[in-house]
Amino acid sequence: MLRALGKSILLHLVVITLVYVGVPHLFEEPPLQETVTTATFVPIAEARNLPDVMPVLDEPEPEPEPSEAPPLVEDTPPPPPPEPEPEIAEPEPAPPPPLPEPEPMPEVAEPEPEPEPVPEPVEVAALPMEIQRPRDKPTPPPRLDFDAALQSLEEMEPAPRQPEPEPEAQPAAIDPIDQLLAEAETTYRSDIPLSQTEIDAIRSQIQRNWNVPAGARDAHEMRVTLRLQLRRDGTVERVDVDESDRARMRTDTFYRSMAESAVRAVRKTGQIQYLSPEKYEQWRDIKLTFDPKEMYG
Amino acid sequence: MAFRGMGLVAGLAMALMALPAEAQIEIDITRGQVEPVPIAVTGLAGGSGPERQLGADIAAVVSGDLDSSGLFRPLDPRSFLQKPDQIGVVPRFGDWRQINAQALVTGKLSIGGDGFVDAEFRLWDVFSEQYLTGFRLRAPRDKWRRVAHLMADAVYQRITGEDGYFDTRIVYVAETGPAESRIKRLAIMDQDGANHRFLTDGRHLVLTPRFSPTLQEITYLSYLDGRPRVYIRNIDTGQQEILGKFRGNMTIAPRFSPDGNKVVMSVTLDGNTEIHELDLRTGVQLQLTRHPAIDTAPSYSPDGQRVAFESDRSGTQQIYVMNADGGNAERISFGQGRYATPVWSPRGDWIAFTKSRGSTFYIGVMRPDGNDERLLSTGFLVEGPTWAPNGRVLMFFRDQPGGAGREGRVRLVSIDITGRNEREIVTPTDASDPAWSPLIPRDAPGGGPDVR
Repeated sequence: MLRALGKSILLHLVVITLVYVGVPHLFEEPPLQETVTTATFVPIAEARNLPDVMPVLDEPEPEPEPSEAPPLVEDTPPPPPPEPEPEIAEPEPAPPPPLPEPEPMPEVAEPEPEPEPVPEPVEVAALPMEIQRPRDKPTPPPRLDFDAALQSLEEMEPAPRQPEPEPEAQPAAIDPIDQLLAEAETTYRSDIPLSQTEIDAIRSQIQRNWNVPAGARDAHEMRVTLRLQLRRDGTVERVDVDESDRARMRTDTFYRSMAESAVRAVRKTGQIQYLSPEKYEQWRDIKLTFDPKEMYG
Repeated sequence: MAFRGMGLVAGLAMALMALPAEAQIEIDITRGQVEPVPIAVTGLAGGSGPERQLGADIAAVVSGDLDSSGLFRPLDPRSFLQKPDQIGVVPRFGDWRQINAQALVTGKLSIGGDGFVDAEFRLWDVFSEQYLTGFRLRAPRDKWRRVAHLMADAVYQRITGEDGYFDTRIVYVAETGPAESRIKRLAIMDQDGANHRFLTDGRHLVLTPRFSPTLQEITYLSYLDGRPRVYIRNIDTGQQEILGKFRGNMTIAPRFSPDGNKVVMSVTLDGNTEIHELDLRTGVQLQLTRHPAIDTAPSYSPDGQRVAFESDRSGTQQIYVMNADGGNAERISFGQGRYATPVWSPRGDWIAFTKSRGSTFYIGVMRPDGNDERLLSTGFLVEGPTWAPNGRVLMFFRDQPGGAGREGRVRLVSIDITGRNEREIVTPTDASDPAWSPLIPRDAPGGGPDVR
């Protein structure tokens, strides 16, 4: 009954509309084809699922951070961090700084009464030999692409610098409008997976602290995977080199350096910011793969 | 009913969305910083004034070494919160994190009555709070700079994964006097410029010195008897002699084989220059190239199996690689310009060269198959690359002509294989033709022939 009524109303509406709109032209050729674009409107914030506190984060921004960021930048005097400082290494069987019993070294050179070599009578003292700290004179080098691990004068010579290959596949930084939208009454959902923006935020915090050992042999072939466990406040609970990579660490000192630099980057980051607590279960365990290949393009 | 159906669908949709996400997120870290590692080098703690002074001197040399590599940034000791003598067995890592040190060097030393120094050093990872490496060392007091270099090498090795190169020396050609009557003498110094001395008196022109793997000898070109001849010389005794009994007007461009048993060089006879090998033990001479072109500047691969050299057999100077017995010569340089003085890296992964194009010179590297050419430095004249023993750093010389009220100068320059960290080496006079020694053997008599 109800349904029949509904159908009837709907049908009537359709017919009336058709007549009203279509009658004069119903059987004419339609004007030459206009392109039809289908668009689905979704609130931006929902798709990105930004937590309300999401700050504007831009990848290669060496700039002053939002004020509450921790002192990630090298030379800033560390503001007294409010958190109970570094209990970072307190928990687990973290290797208690092993009391180093340094291997006794092969002694350098007993002072064997060395045969004082008598070089030919040369004017040894002829010149001022005040050579204390001699190497400290970096000649101002022409600096190139700071991202590239290896530099060559080649490209910078005839060719002017390439247009910055900056923003690649990276999702663009949040622009102010987006952010406003995001801040507006977004219903933030903690039950859907971490958004790309959230992942990028984690990535950028670690990349900023990763000091890549450039120039090592085959550095471009060194992928290191770390297992990272975070506490609810984003601090690092533990970080380990993935089981699969440990064997190579034991045999390849270059690789060990690479792996250690990755661990150091995480340790130095100390606390990942801007994580939404509601999603803790999703980000408490993170698999981080460090792969500098891009830097050797 | 319909409502109920719709409710079901909606409920299902919500349930789908609420499904727990992937158990673990994976994030790729593909970019990082290429910056020097901030390191704190504390003075070695000591009980007495002289000990503390020596401890501070050693720390300064360690810092200087690490800084010169461009891979480390030693922090100003004035910023240290924990003083050397407060550091017990384990440092207070929090204090060092505060000043953003990533690595920390601590140690202590004592000076014995016998003139010996007992030094102890430890390297720590500040952020991971881990002990990384360390050693104890006993050395004559006057060898304290070597102690420092060994410490710096240990730090470098542990942090970068490659061997250090600070406990090394440089032999080079010291130049003085006006261009028309230039005086050239062989000189030797520590890698950081200390302990400098001259080996020859400058009466005879000398060029292209090269170290033997044992550091006991150098081979070089001298005009001692009026003609260019390759000599070998014992660094300690100063004894020298002509190498080989080659027919020909001159022998040039010598270089030791990696095992030190052979020397390759070029021999010019009747206007044709070919590469020859001389076995130092047996005196047997072997001609490696046979070509009407000029073949010269040979350099062994680190395994001794192949030889890179330069030749103009294609019409211009280019780099070739052949087997150590002279077979299978193949050209590897194909870029624009002329390529010369190939030098195989001790690590084996690169060949350094001098390139000239137009009126500009370059120092560059390429793979042994000719790929991946990169130019690291340039100038009016840059030439004579030589490798640090770890294959990570190059040294060469730069000749800047005078003119316009500016005096010309010739200087040694080092640069990292990444193209970063170009630095001029301070020498008492103009300097050219550097040769970097291998690491000084720990057990060398007297701790190396000359470090005193």
